[in-house]
Amino acid sequence: MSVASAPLREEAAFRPATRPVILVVAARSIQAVLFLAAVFFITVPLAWLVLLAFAGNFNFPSLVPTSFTVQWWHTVLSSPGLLHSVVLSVTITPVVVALSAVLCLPAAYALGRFNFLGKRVVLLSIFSINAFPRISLYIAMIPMLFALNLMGTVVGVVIVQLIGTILFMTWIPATGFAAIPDALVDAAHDAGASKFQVFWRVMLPLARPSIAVAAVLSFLAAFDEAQGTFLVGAPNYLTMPVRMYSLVLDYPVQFAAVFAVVLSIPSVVLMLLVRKHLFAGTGSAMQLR
Amino acid sequence: MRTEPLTASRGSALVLEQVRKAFGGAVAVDEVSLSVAPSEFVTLLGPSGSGKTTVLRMIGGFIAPDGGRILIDDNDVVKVPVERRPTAMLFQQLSLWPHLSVARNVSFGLELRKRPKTEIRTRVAELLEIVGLADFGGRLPAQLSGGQQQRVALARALALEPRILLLDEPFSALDTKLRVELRTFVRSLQREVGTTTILVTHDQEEALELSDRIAVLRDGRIEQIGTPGAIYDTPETGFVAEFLGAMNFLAGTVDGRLARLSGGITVPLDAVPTDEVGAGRVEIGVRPEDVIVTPDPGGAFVVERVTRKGYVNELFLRSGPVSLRAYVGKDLALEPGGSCALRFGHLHLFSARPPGGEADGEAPLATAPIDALAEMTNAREAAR
Repeated sequence: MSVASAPLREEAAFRPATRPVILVVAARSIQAVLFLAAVFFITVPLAWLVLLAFAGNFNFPSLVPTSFTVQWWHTVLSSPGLLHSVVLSVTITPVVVALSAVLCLPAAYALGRFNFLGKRVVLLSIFSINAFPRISLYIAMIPMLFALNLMGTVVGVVIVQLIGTILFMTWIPATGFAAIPDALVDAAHDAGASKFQVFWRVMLPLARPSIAVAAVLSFLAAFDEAQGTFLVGAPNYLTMPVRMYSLVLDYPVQFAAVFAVVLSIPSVVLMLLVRKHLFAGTGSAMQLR
Repeated sequence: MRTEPLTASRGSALVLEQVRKAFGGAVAVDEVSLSVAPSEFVTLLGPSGSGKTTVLRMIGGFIAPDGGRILIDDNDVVKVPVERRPTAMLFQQLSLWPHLSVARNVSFGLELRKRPKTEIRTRVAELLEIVGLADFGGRLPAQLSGGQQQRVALARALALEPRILLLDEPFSALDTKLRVELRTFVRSLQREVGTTTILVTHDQEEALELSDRIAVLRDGRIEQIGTPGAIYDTPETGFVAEFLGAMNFLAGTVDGRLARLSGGITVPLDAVPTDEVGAGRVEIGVRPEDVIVTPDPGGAFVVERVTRKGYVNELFLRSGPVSLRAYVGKDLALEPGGSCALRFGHLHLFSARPPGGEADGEAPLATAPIDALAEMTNAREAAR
């Protein structure tokens, strides 16, 4: 029996080092302060926005409105075409996100899992969409959309909103796919799964948190998109942000506040819907804890 | 290089015939041939870069060989994709799917095979019972320890009822105690189930403990293959001798029935058929446990250092330019600075290494080892 034994791993390496109590307390305190700061900076502007939306009389030195009213809500909600905008926004945006997922996730998968000729060029060109002022891109697109008879159509609006989601929907899930250990993929093939079954049953569920993040960011990008939507969709298809921009200048600031609150509702709902996907990822790429 | 005769193919569970693989010009596996009997446990042992993992992954279908044939139950499987090969692999890294419960991990392959639900349920329960995790089916992998996860992975592999079970260093991610526990478990399970098994490892203890046969790989070739006892007792090359166990190499010159080492030390070669070596330069190989140390104030060797290895002490001995290591019983009263005399219980003679180079695997070795001394001392008994 040989004595020059196998490499021994030290047991101690598995135990976390015990730190002095004072450091633990300090770390916890800093954590608490940062958390409270985050809560403050997220909730206060929102609260102020809501306050503003109900403000009747609100002039400078006063920090809170001196009178309250629902007049602005009445004005906004009864403004002609608002319902149309809401329906338009709430239907077009999910279509854009779904289409973006269908088009971009396979690309994200390829970019995350394979090395191929021109991969860097693809990544860079996707990135370059967001590297220049968007308006120049839209202006360049308009002749094409004219040629294709897509100006002033829903399809044109969808295309123009899609542009803004591509970066999120490829880059973020690509890192999610890339972070999946090869052994998990090999094990699935080994167990008898075809390439598609591996993608569907292993890769997609494991990349889910990163896809959820990409979906949220894409949704917001599409939902808030106003420039291109206005250029392509006006005058027939005015989504909520487009309508807001066109009305804001004609009314007091409270009017815009109401719009902003209304525009926030879908984001909040979306966040609540995907929360569990963002935070409950088990051991995969975009795990947030 | 030594390979198995190719005639052994009939009735073998697995046969490799001159399998080759190169990665971008670098040869990883160079004409490896091997034949494995049904229910046999064969270990591919070698350092990193020896090609052992590449061989295993080619058997599993993860890598396509550049040439040669791979036969499982006499069928060439080279063109059969991973998902249809009758093999199952246990991976080095923890490889359970984190989003599926333990039970779903085990049932994954059966679900893909569209087996009836009731059959799947009983099979999963049975397998989890076998690996001692009957109550863990509902848990997620993250809630299990590393050792438990590897046992689930084993159940998952066995669920596929593979013809060949492939183990890719499956114990290396675990700490020492768990590793020993799990490999004992794997060995008894393999004996019980009788699945033909190929293990890849660089851990000699693992190889010695688990294998029916060990193939020592070096630079993409099988350097020696045989039972653990045969490989340990009669290593054919210096590389094998050093990789499996430890060995002292003493350069010397054969002179009649003596080998002369530098510094005027001579080693009697009474029982060695020296005519096989011829005269000239040789390497004398002695395993540290075969060095019999006797405290002797007039002895030629001086103890330089003593390292405690737990069940034995390792002595670093020197006499002029000659130095070697010996494993001795803990109760042998020798401290650094003490003098001693040596005898060798067992010698191996190798042809000399090329000057400045490492032992050349290609150079045929001169002799089989012999017992230079028949009697064993207490020290040697203790070392074993």
